[in-house]
Amino acid sequence: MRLFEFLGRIFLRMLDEAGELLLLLLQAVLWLLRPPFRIRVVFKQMEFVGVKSLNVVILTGAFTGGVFALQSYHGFSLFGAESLVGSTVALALTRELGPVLTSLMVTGRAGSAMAAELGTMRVTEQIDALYVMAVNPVQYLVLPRMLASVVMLPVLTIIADFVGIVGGYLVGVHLLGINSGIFIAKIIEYMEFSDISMGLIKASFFGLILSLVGCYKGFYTTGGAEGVGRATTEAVVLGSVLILASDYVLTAIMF
Amino acid sequence: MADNIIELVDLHKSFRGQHVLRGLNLGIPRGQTTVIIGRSGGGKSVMLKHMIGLIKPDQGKVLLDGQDMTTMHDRKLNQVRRRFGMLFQNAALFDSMNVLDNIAFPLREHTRLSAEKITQVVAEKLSLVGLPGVEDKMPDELSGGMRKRVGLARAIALEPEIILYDEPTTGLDPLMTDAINRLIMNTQAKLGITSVVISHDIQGAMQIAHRIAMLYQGQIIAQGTPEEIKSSDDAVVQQFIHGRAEGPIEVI
Repeated sequence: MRLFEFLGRIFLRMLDEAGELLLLLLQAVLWLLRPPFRIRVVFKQMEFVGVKSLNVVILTGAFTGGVFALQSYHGFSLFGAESLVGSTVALALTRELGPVLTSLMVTGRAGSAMAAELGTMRVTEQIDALYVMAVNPVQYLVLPRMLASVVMLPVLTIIADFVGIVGGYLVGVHLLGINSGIFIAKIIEYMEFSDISMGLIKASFFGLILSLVGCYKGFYTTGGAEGVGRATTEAVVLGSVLILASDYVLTAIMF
Repeated sequence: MADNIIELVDLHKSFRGQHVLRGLNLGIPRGQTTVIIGRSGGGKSVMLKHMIGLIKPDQGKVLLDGQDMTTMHDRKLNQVRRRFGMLFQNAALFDSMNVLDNIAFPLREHTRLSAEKITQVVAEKLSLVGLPGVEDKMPDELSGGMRKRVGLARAIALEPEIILYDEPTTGLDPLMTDAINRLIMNTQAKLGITSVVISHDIQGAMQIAHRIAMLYQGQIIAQGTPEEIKSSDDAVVQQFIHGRAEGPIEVI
């Protein structure tokens, strides 16, 4: 009986959290339609989420492409299909690894920062101060972060895709000696535009998830500095899990 | 009946089973300074946050000029909030912005003043709180007393009718405490503002208050002019204003 009680409590807590997340999303969407529109705040967040994540996304993309070429080369060389390394790398990156790894990296970098910043604002009464000054914090803090993430994640993903393929090319062609013309020709032969576009749609959705979770955890922080720390950790964990889980669902629907 | 701008009627509020406000009734007279005294953690801040709609009561009404704030829609509530300024306990300055942007924030949000005019208003408010020329500093470069004064400058930027002060002098040295108390009196006198102050500083309270109200166990147990409070025959009030550990209030 204890076990059921325990599981039931976890389940209820999850339902609670899902409901609160959706309510926050709903509020943000409603504010999307109401002035004032805070273009400048959105741009500032786009810089934070996008431009400042560039380094980490490029590094992730390059090494992922490289290691993927290395691994698939070892597999394919067993039955003489080395020529397919390029297209394998390209498809894996555009469909899966590009959007997912980019989003996970941005969750760690920006999603956590959103939770920490909003959490600190909550515990130091800065969010209350916004209410008092008749500025809605969902509209001022949450919506710009969500918009910026939804726009910038596809941009970062396409960069990761490209850099990853270049990394695969360098490893495949220059280190492992695959013919350069074949490497590229197979990519063009097997990759379709929809591989890229579907990946970008996923990235956009992941952007929504990581910013929503980051803002949600920060916005409802309680318990001082410790609470801010907890919110930050939870934002990364929950964000990452939701990204991976929804990736499966989205992939099953789209491809 | 005096002319009350705010009227708290039978407020009840619980947090996680803890009954903080238990049928609180209080009127805030227009254009005067009311100081609320009471123990730490006794619900003074909670009461103050009810006055501006940051917390909704479980039961009871918060009347502003006779209108119930607890049932207002967001948009209406936001209109009403422009009549208020609030100084938070730790000033709650936006730490991502410098002093200028902090004080300019409500002006940029709610007025159509030009950039030069805003800079001018900010400078004016800063000199009013005795801190001219700190526009470019970030909040973390300021001392506690300076932060509170910047917070006050931000609270009066839109020239509100009502200012709520949440422990404006807690944690300050005696000189700064006196300076802030004078500032509260001057702001009140110059601008004819209604002030509500939460304080532990009995001496300061006697100095700045037109009226004092004591919050104890979730209710207002005594209120009146500083003289009336001083000569109150309520044992709880006497114990509190004389700061004695022995008496009807259990300290430990």
